[in-house]
Amino acid sequence: MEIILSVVTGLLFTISVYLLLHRSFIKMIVGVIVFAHAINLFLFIAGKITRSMPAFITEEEAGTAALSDPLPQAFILTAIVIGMGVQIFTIVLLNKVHFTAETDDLDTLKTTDLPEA
Amino acid sequence: MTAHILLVPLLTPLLAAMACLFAWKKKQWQQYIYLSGSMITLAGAAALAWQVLQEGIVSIQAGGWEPPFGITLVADAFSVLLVVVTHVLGVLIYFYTLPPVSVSQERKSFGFYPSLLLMLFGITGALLTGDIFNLYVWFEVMLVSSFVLISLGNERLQLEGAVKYVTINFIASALFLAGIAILYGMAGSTNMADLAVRLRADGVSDIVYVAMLFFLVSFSIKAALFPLFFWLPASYPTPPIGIAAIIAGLLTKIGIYALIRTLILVFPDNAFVQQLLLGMAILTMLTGIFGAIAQYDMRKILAFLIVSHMGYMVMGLAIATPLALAGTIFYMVHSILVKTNLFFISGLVFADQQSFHIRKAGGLYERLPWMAALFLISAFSLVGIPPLSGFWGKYMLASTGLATEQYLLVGVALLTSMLTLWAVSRIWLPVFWQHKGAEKQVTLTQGAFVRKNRGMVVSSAALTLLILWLGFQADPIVEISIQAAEQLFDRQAYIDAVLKP
Amino acid sequence: MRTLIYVTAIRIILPMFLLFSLYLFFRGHDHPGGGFIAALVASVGFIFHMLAFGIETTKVTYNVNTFALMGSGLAAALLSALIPVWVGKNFMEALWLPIELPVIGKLGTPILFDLGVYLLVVGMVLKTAFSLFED
Repeated sequence: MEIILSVVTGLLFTISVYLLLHRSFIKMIVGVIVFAHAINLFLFIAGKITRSMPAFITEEEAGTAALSDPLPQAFILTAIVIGMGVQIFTIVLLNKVHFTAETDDLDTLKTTDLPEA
Repeated sequence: MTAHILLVPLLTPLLAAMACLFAWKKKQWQQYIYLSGSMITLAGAAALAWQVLQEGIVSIQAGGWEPPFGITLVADAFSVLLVVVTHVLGVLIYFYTLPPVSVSQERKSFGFYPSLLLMLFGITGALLTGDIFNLYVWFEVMLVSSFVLISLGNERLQLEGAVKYVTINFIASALFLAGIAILYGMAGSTNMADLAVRLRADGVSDIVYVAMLFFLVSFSIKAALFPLFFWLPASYPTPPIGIAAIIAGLLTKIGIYALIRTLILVFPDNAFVQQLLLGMAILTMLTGIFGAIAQYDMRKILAFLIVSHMGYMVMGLAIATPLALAGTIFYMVHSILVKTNLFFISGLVFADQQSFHIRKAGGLYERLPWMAALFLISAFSLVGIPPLSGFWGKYMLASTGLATEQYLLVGVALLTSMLTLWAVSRIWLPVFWQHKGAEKQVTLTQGAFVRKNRGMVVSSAALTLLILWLGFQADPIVEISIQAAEQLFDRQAYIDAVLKP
Repeated sequence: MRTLIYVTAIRIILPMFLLFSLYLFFRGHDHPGGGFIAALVASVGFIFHMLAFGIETTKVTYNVNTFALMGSGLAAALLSALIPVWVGKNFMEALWLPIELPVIGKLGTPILFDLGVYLLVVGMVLKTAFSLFED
């Protein structure tokens, strides 16, 4: 399981970096979203996957039942929520840029880097 | 129960932001809420600082969970010092943004105040948390609000800057999260004090250094260190000057704070990373200052100066002795105040001359000599001319650098100081000193200018007084810096304060 | 998008979305669910309504003030964190009422916190959806 997920994580990273290096807005948005998913999956694998019960147990069961660690899942949930906020913001922002600058090419957005005469 | 004072500076900005959301359509109310909220926060921060400096580290456990399991909030001398400085700026920025030239009225009615409060909330949280995952969350609170602030108003240049700023910071946060994932996988904890114990235990695998590099890269992006600084000059000059000033003054320093906190407290020493930091310090100082010399827009010159002077802070971290770190901490305080004030003054220049371009503005020494004085004090302070504040920070850093035989580093630091003089004189000569008689139509008299932009003048003057105080009365802040640095290196005391309350 | 079938169906589906979101909300303490997911489900319902009737109709029909929603969300969360301090417990410590209600279960500060998350997320998602639809 770990090996499959590791490969998937690697693939997601590859795809997202490939997309982020494109000039199109849409590809950048998809790249950002895939990057967030790759990181979340990475967090999940690094937190050690165990196929067992969730950690909601009674006091008698404590110490006897095999439990999966709830913390990585809590981390991922937090990361998903935050990631969603940032992704929504990115989409709205690029939408605004699209209407203001009338372009969907990231390479045209370089006036802030050019020296003024 | 006295530890609950920690919650006052942390939660008051959130409370005020919430009140602002209810008063969304009423700009006037939002202003009152912001002012009172920031004042209360500053008072709370001062009270917290007093308690920490008198009695040592204050910590509370959220939810009452036993220390390594719950989220810990910790205040030590280093963090409270920065909390107080942050909220001093939080109050001053209110007055600075009153005239519409620094932040327009439309922006103020479209969420300027709540976003600013949430950013202050995020900064305070990042400074006070004792949990590494929680640090990530606070960073995001701070960043998302700064995203809103940077893109507020939807002007084309602003949006262009915001795209770069948002994307690069998103990547940086994701890398930070990857570092946390590795640490949690290794040590099974995210409490910084607990991690400090576990990562120093025998038989810790070398993967910890992978996590360390993730953190280093992520915080280097956030702190704009070489070679990851390019987003800063592209985005910081784009928003209105009032927003640019507070973002430029504070956010990169929080990156350095996180770098210091994690590298000194959490991770075991690593010679390679120290060498890396050394190289980064040298290259950050040099590239930043050369960038500043090549620019013509005042805000861009200042943005590159920020990059350049981040190098000094990394310098202390790279030397990593208590005195060097004290130098870094002092330099952070100095840098926050001086950089913000330079942005404040460039806004004043804009208010008078309608341009940030150094060739289009001119003759201000003649017209508004007090503004020239304000600029000169801040600029000399940045250069490090004794007895102004920059001198003491540079003196502490350079003397420990010489004591530890880092001659190249000290040489570059001194060279950068001299080049900084060149960079600020590139603003001083054309904008203030040069006579620009007939080409410039100036309509306002001096008195009318001051009346129109009273808030900007007052806050800039107040900040200049603070900078002068920091220079002439450096003792108390130097002492607090040394206390903070010693506390940082006394890891056991921190661990005990958190794990054995 | 405005077909007759869709417009008619959405009148029935929207209450079901809201009901399901309430179910997820109260289930969330010990099972999958919780404030965030429930809020997403509820906002998806409203977004469907927007697609069917147009943004103006939705705004007028439900008269949602997204900023007040966000503000009350923050208020609820803050309250849940501060009530324990008020009664002398730790910051954010869970307090439960001694009574147990049918269907809903126990009431306590964690529910209040989740309610805060719920309101905040509904407010935020709707605000974003409004600003995207308006363009």
